[in-house]
Amino acid sequence: MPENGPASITGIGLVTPAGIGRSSNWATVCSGRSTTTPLDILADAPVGFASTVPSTFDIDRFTGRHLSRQYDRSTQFALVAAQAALNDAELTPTVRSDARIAVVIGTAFGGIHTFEDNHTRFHTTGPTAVTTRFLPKGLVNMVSGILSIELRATGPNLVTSTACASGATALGVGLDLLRADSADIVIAGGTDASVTPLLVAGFHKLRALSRSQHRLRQASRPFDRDHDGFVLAEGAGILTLERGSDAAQRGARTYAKLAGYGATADAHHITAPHPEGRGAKEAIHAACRDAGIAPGDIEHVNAHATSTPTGDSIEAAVLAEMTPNAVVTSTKGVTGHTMGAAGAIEAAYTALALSSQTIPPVAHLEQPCAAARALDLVTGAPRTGTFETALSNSFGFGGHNAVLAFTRT
Amino acid sequence: MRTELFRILHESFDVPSDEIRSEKTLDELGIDSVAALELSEILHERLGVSVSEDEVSTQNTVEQLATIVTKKAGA
Repeated sequence: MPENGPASITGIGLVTPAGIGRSSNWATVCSGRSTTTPLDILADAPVGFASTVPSTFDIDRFTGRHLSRQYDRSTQFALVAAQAALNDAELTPTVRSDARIAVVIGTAFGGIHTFEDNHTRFHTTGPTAVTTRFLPKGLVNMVSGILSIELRATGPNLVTSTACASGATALGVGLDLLRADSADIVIAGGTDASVTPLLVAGFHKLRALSRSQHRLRQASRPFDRDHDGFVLAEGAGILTLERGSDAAQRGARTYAKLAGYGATADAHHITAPHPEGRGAKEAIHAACRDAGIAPGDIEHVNAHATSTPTGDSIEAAVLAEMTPNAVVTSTKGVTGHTMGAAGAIEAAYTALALSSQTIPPVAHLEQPCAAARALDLVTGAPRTGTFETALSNSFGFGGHNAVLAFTRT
Repeated sequence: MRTELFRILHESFDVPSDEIRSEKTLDELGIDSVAALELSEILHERLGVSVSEDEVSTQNTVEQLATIVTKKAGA
């Protein structure tokens, strides 16, 4: 593989509010259906709705083993998604027996459920009530460690944490590992089980969440003039990356090529993006340069757009300037904002868009906000056409920017 | 008590039912030192039995542990 060559995306595993599995996700995202629902666990929280993984998710049933007690919910999502991606890629244990397999997983909150549970035990009953598995379940690195154990993946193994860009960062690092010849197969993606009352309270304090309780099915409406914050969500997206030559040799299907990665920091503010999108523009430049594509030749962008007025407007202005020929969507109108998983889930949707030549609509977008009027946004129904190149943007608190560039197979 | 212990080993530690036999040590069933501590915690929660770290040694057989738990539960 040349130093800056692309990686083949050969497998996709998704556990999101839009469904469990690649096909159900794609059908839901293309339908533009909302996944936002009121939740009993948020009854006392300042915002009472979110988007959660379907209640049919049961790792014990999926694996035929008793893992629900052993692993944090975020790890459960990642494990099911990773196994689905390997199955999708037909990377059976035999096929991968001699391969160096890396695992790179992005997460913003790690084992937040486990931390919250043990914190409650500690304060209500005392230190003896803290469980033995508190740290092995909860530590932020454990998701990649557990995946290595479960999947017998003995190559480079790490977690990336760049807030809501974590999943995209993981894929970018995974691409770099293949290029550096540090691995033959990379299992990369993101996970977060972020729907908890504590996190709702925290994001609400920052005025980041939608408060559209009266029309919660339309609460997540990226780029819409009435956008008023994001809808908190959870999930995991895991992809398998391989060198093109390896994928071709074993006759693997390739959804799309991951051709470039650009990472920058705004160096500006703890939560707000730079007002002119300085870091975002530089990340787009870097990803396009890495992929050998001019930004003006990008034909599709899966935007970060979370449905916050400031974030959507700044990103819209950046895209209008840098990728004027792109057909733009944000799939968060359907999924809500899955935090550290978002970048990986949206990378999967971008790969599926290129492979199916279909771009899903921005759900619930009625009238674009002023900055987004210059964009060619997909509304209503999915858009079909010929799309050879694409970007997926991800930005996170702390000023992290991670942009992935894709090309059609 | 033995049945309950078998169930805990299966449901909480993912040990396949057909592998759980009285003569096997906890170590042979994949119960490592962390899992042994957790087993002690579960025995306390579910059965109200306090077993020491030594008593849930990974070198103990299932039978030895069942005997200890039975004795303590009856005490």
